[in-house]
Formats: sequence, C-alpha cells, structure tokens
Amino acid sequence: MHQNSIRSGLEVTYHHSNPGNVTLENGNAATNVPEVAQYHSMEYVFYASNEQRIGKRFSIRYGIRLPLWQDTGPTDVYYFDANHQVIDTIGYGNNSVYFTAFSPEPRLNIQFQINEKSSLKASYNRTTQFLQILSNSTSPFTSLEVWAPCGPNIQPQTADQVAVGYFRDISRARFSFSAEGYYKWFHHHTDYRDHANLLFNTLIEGELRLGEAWSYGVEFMLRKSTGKLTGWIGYTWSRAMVQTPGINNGNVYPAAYDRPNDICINISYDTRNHWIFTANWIFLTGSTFTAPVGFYYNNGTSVPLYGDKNNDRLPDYHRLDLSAIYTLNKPGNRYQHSLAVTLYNAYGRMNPFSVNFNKMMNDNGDFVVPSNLNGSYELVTTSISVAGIIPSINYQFKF
Amino acid sequence: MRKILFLTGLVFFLHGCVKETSWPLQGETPDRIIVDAIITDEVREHRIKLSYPVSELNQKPEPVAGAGVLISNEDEVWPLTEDPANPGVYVTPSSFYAQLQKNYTLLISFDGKVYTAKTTMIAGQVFRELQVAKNEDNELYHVDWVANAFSTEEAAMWELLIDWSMVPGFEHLDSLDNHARMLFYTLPTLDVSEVFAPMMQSVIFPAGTMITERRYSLTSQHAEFVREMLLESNWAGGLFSVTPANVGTNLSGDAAGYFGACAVTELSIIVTP
Repeated sequence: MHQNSIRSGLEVTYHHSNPGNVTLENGNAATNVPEVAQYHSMEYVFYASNEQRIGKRFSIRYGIRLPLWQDTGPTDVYYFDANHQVIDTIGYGNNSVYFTAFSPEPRLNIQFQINEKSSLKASYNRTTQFLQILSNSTSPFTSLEVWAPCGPNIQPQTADQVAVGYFRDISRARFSFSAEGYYKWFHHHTDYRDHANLLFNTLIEGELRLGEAWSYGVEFMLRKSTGKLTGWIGYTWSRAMVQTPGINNGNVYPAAYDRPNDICINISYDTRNHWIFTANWIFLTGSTFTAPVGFYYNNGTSVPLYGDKNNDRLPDYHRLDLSAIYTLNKPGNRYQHSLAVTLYNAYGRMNPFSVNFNKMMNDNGDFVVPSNLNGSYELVTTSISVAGIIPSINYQFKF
Repeated sequence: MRKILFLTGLVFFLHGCVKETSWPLQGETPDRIIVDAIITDEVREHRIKLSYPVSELNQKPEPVAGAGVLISNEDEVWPLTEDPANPGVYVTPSSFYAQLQKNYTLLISFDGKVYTAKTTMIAGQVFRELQVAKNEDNELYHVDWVANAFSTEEAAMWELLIDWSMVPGFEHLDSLDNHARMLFYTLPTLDVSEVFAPMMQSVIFPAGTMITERRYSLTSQHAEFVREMLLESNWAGGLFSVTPANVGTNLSGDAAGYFGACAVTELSIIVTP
C-alpha cells in the first residue's frame, strides 16, 4: 500500500540590514566619517515534500527546498582580493541586482517500524544560511552584532547533516527512549581575522575568513509525557571543530561552542488544580577559550601572548531553574491568565563566561585596569560571571 | 536609548560579578624575543628594549642581552649600544632623531637569527591641552579629558607624565607615590569592547602638580597595533570582550612587539585650584 502526503509552497522575503553608522555632532568631523552601506536582499523559496508510507513498516519523507537569494542596491559593494585587500568599489542603484545565489536543499527521512514499540530513523538534509550574524565577541550577551547577507565576498554557508536514531516506547508508552547519532559538515563557515573590526567598518567583509567546520555526537533521551509528573532526562556527547585558512596557522581548533558533555533534566508536576511546578537542571562542559601562554610588556602595558586558539576551557556550566505557575482562571475559560514565580540559577552557581589577566585591585577592593603605568601595579587573574540567583514574577494573560 | 540604558545597567550588574581566580596557564611560554621600540623626532638618545616573555603575571622579564641592533634609513645607519647598567636596553647616539618622509628599518641580530621591522613617521600636531577636574569628595584632582578617542584622520598616543613631588607635603614620598605615567589614545576605529571597557584605575594628584602632556603621531599601521594591544589589555574583561588573539607586529620572524616612529609635540601645565 502506498500512501502519499504531498506539500508544496512558495515564500518570498525581503531583508533589510543596517549595520549602523557613526554620527558626530561636529559637522566638519562628520564629513570624514565613512558611511557604512546598508544591505537589501530578496529571498524566493519554492519547496515541495512528500511523505509516503511503504507497507506497514516503512515510511519515507523526501523533499527539496529551492531558495534563490538576490542582493540589490542601493549600496556600495567593495570587492576584495585573496589577501582581503580592496581591489574595486562599485555603486549599485535602486533595485539593481548585484549578487545571486541558488542553493538546492534536498532532504530525506526514512523510518522503519521494528515493532509496535520500536523504530529506527535515518535522515539526510542540506540547509543554507544566506544571512549571517557577524560578531567576534566572547560575551554571552547579544546586542551590538551586525547582520550581513551573503554576497560577492561572503558565500552562503551550507550544512550537510546525516543522522540515525533508535526510538522506543517503554512501560505502555508512559516513557519513551531515543538514541540518535549525527555528523554535520559546515561549508563556508564564517570566521574572523584576529581582532576583526566589525563596528562601523565600511570594509567589514574584508574582516571575515571562510572555512570549514564539522560537528558530531550522540544524544540519549528518556522522556515521560503523560500523567501529572512529566519530564525528561537527556545526555549529549558531541564535538565541534573548525578549520579556517589563516586562523590558528591553518590548524584545526575546537569551536567556541564545542561542549562535549551536555546533560539536561526537566521535571514538571501539574497538580491539575491550578498549580504547575517545574525544575530544570542543565550541565554543560565549559566552553573553549584562548588562554595566554605567557605575557610581555609594551610601553608599560602587560600584553598576553597566545599559543593555539581555544587551548583552554572555562569551568563546567551548571544551573538549576525553578518555577511555580498558578493558573488564576477556571479550566476551559476563554480568557486564561496565570502568575509565574521563577528562580533562575536557584542555587546561585557563579558560571564564569570570561577569564581575564589585565586587572588589579584598587584601594576600594574593586578590580580595575591599571592606568598608572609607572611600573607599580600588581595584576591578578579575574573571572566574570552572570550574577547568582535571579528571581522573577510574570503575569500572563491569554485571549 | 533604551538599549544603551539596558547595557549600562548590565555593565554595573556584571561589575559586581568579577572575582579573583586562580588560573594555571596551559602550554609552554614561547621563546620569542619582544621588541619595545619607539623612535621620535626629538634629538636625544632613544632607547629600545629587547626582552623575553614571562610565564606568569607580574614576573620581571629577562632581558635579551648581547644583541646587535641597528637603525637605518635611506641615508644613514645608526648602530645602537647596549646600556651597561640596563641589559637588554639598546641606546641610539644622542644626535639621533627621526625625520618625516624617511623609511626607517630596525635590524636586530641575536642568537644566529635576524629580525627586521620597517616604519615611517607622520607629522605631529599642536593640540588642545588636557582638562583636569576636582574630586567631589576630597581636595585632589584627576584627569577629566585628554583627547577624543575616535578620529578617522588624526591617530595619536598621548603620554601624561604627572609629577607632584614638588608639592608641599608630598615631597618625601617614594617616587612611585608622587609620579604617574598615563597613556591615552585617539584611534580611527571604534570597537564595542572600547565602548564597554572595564573600569580604569583612578589616578589622583594635588593642586600644584605638574603635568607634561606629550602627543605621539601614529601611522595607520601603528594605530592598528595599538588598537589590538588595547583589545588585549585595557579593553579586555568588559561586557563585550573579543576573541583573544596575538597582537600583530611589524617585526619579521617570530618576534613580537612593535617598531614605531612618532613625531612628538609637548606642553606642560600646572594644576591650579
């Protein structure tokens, strides 16, 4: 028996990105500030997929996305040579197309039902990222990054992923268990030259370096989805590596998001009488960072000296979040409202996101960067963490 | 505006989450030579320091002694001599000064290896004097403004030599306690790390202090070296630190540091109540 379920569609999206500009109050100075060009892009996507059952045990889902990307004026486009030096600048008028990319994205998913309780899955898919977020900050906060579309200097980033998985229902479907393995290749992975200048830089695309990246891992998940008490326990072991010409002497290095061990435990208890209590605990291997292998002095300033990129790891990250939600309305009401009390990082773990070697302690006990360079300062190593326990109260109204 | 307020709040929020920590360094400290060399257009002895990196914070660097050091331009060659009292410090003849429109080469030969660096100098400029302000909670002063941090055309380094050893009541202090040296920069770039840099040490001094303000012109290459050095020092450890990496250099081989040529303009002020 062959059963088909065909889906198809068309998407059209307009993207506009303004990387920002410097505005000076002094009129004369303002004339010397180069203007950073804005980006205008169109994305057209046609997609089609079919889900097909073959007999009682097999199902297959396959499809393709056909995205077409076009960058348009008005803008000035800088062209770079192999050494990332500007070789030409061309101004494009309103709506004139200066770059087109087409990247077919096939996908295939096969499922084999071993028996009523168990199944196997295998999949392949290709994805394309036409719009990149540019940031070389090590901070966990995002706000001042730049969005840039692919173009003459930035090829679209593509990724191929293969995965296989085993799924099983346990104890009359009250629990489910899954184990999945994956391997993913990233092509034209965005990297940056050392100390890339990404803010108000007309030549920002010359700061980028494109390379290859790959990640792989296995994920295990035990889930309970029914009853008053629900939740899951998940464990992932994974690696993520990068290789970019001109970065780290061209050698492979672990990505900043390479965190081999990832554990997540989520428990939720619904009293069915207005209250829901939830606890969520996560554990991650500390992220990689580049730590110094020595120091030197230049004009009185202590400067770190580095060896391999991402040669060290921050301490492991773990955190418990607790929440209690009280539903204020009766069940089934058209209008629903609830009150949630949340404790983020309930046991106050100080998870550092940065280790620094450039501060001294002043007379008030604050850590400051020395500004008196007469040779009298004593530096200490410091770490920065997001604050301990963060309580919050939320009121939600749905209609 | 809301974003700026949010980020400013975050800076204060995170400021309280800075802790001293112990962090043993991974890997071996490389055996590179470090060059700290600025020549200027002043007629005087110029000193160039050669040293080795250190493997721990606050360690005193070992000097690179016994090197052969030369500076040359299209017309002349100046051999430098090592200061017998300060091993690793190499001194030009007292008649030496750098000139505009000349190309200078530093040549270091040491341990069978040759290191070179090339530089040029751009003209100096007269400048507006710095501003000091009185502290709110005492009778002392601090530097309030030296120069704009951003200029697309006039990159410069500002050195402040602050001396209150002649002020009554402060004469008998140790030299480190009545002198200060500060550096400020005007660069053609703006960095997020610079905007949200960590707090700097406060340097305070009494009325009667003499401040010598020296402006060093910076070429665009020298300004980029300074920018990278600041990203790794003064601007690191704030809200938006960048991915760490070695500061660039204009030296060949595996040497680190910089050889720069700067035109210097100078003025002095006395802090008056």
